[in-house]
Amino acid sequence: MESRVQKSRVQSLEIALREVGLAGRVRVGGPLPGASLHPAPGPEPRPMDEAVPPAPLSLDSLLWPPESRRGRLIEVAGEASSGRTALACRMVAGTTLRGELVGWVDLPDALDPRSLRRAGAEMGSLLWARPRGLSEALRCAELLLRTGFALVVLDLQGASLSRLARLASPIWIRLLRRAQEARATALVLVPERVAGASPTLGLWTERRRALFEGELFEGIEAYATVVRNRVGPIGMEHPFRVLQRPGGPPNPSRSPPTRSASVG
Amino acid sequence: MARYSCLLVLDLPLAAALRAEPELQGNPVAIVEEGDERATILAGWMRGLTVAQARTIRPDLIVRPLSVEGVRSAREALLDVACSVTPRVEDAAPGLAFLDLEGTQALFPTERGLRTALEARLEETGLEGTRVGIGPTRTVSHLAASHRGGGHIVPAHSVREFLETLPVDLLDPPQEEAERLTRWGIHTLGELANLPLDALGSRLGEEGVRLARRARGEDLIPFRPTSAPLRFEEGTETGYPVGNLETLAFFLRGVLDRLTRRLRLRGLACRELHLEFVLESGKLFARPIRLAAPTLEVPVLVSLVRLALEQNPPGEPIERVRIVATPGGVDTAQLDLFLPPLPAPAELAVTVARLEALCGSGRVGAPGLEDTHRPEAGRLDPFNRENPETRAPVPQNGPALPPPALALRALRPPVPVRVYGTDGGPAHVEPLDGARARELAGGRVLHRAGPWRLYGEWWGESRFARDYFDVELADGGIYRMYRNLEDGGWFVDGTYD
Repeated sequence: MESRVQKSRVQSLEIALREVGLAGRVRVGGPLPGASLHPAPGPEPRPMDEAVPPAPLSLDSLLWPPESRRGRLIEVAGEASSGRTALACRMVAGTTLRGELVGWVDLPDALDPRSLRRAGAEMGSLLWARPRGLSEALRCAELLLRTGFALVVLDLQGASLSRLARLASPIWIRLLRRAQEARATALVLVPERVAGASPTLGLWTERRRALFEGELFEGIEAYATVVRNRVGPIGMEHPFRVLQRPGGPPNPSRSPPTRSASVG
Repeated sequence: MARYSCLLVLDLPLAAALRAEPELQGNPVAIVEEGDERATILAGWMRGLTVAQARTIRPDLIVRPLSVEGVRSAREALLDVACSVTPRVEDAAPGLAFLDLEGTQALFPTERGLRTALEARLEETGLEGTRVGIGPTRTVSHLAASHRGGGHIVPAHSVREFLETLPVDLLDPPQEEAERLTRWGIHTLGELANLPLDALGSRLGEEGVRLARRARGEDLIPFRPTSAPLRFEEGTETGYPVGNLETLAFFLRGVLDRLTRRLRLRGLACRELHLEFVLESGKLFARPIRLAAPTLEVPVLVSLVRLALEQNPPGEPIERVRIVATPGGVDTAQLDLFLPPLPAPAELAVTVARLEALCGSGRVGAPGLEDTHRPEAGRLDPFNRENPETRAPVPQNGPALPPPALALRALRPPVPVRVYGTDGGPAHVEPLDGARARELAGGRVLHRAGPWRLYGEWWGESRFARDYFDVELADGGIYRMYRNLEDGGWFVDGTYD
């Protein structure tokens, strides 16, 4: 029990170091009895964990609990190509398959309908709004939450970090209040953590490695660290793997590299 | 037994002016053809005088030019009110409509209630002064609307008593016949109705017989129902060239408010707007605005029009505004007890319209897939909420989710890049456009997959022939990129995430 507490403390320190930009430069461990030297996550890819589950995701219980909606603000931040959008698409798929409506506020105009279809989402239950600015995006999200959408994805990855950082804390608190009033979920996709202590759940995603098998790109292997959780522990790492063709042949639409395919 | 109702606007040009400018209610208003002091007053106060003459009597006289569009809109609004009660409506003349009340008892059990409803709806559409009359024939209903402010309900058994004391002038007889009747001492409809038709015909001719039959409450011609077209058009003259969008929004709000009130009466909503502005130079500026969902919210419509004008300004001051609304049905649906609650269709439509006002036209909808093999192909379909009756029941333990799938973040438009490497694939990638460096920093290629060749649609303008690669760059991203086989250009069109 004590070792679990120590481990949790170590992980919290690692997260704090990452937030101040010292990840990989400072190692954590030592003085606390029972806490062994723990390697800090750095740019070097760690060896692939054989136990990484492709499905079901251990994150599902966090992101998409089986019980009814509760009114949550989830912030998913992380580095590029670390599976943030894949997690959002999976939440969209789960919500639309329940028969509920989803709104996607797409500031960078980056939503790929084929990715949604591949994730299993019901396209007819998804409302796609493409605002032109950050303030319009926030108003769109509030409007969708007020209307009764079960899940609202607010993709702010196109906004500049300086503008996101200047957003006042009451904006995120208001978004959380709207979600709680509607008993809905607001999922914010951002490149860095910007919502402070407002989110109900905060995740930081990092890529472990890109799955280039031979000359084919199969997907990515990543993990999400719980950096903020109002109802549970933080510091837990949830590994996950997202594939181009989950459960199917590697990439049937693509021919071997040396051959060409006509789809006309 | 047949029952009819009559809606009568005594002075349609004046009513149209008051409808466009409700703040003029209670003031002396005169309608003229031209805005000159010598012009003759056509409608309103002191009809027949010139403006100068009328001003000597009422210095505070307000003069407004005759608006042909306003008169037409007021006439159509009157028909909208009539059609909101029954589909059997006769458009007898400008400002005069008859309603066949057969079958309306289910909606309006009493004729008093019907009259109240009609008066409320007339007020709603800005036609406050319109008179209502109800009777067993159209002639009686017309007289009931004309006599002493209207509002009379004449039962079939008391037609004779009602008509007995009404003045002959209500029938609006020709000058010659009116003078003869006065000389004979015939002043009321009762006296006229008692005259024998043969004798009257020999003295006054056919017109005399017609007058006598109308005085008895008879209809001279059968009821001719007209199908009022679903045409919703409103306009206004600004009175001076308007070049400021804020000022124009003031006029637009009034026009759109009248339009939506009419649409609401017919149980419809606005699906598309067609703007027509007459500019200062006399040119016509037309612009269609398609809405993502039917709505009746005036602020939303004003926002959409403002957005459209900001994106594509007319370039000149505006003198006349005309807006045509294409109607659409408001979705209604019975929600299911055993499915998750969804927003009401009308509320959803309002939200979609508001979102469009925030984001701009054509930027809100449902994602759709095109029937093509181009990997980046996608489109925005109108958001039509799924009918709950056709929704599949959700399993008790939740739906079975497919395994997690890799997602692509599209780069729109694709980022043109410079590629180094001669071994058949990219070894180093950097963006050509420095402005898009935030989307793609570029760098050395760490891993690479491909190429796989896609070509198709060779029969049309959208033909494509590309070699695709998946690359992991030193900037930390994994990208999808392609080389155009036609011109050799390299592009990055998405980030895997």
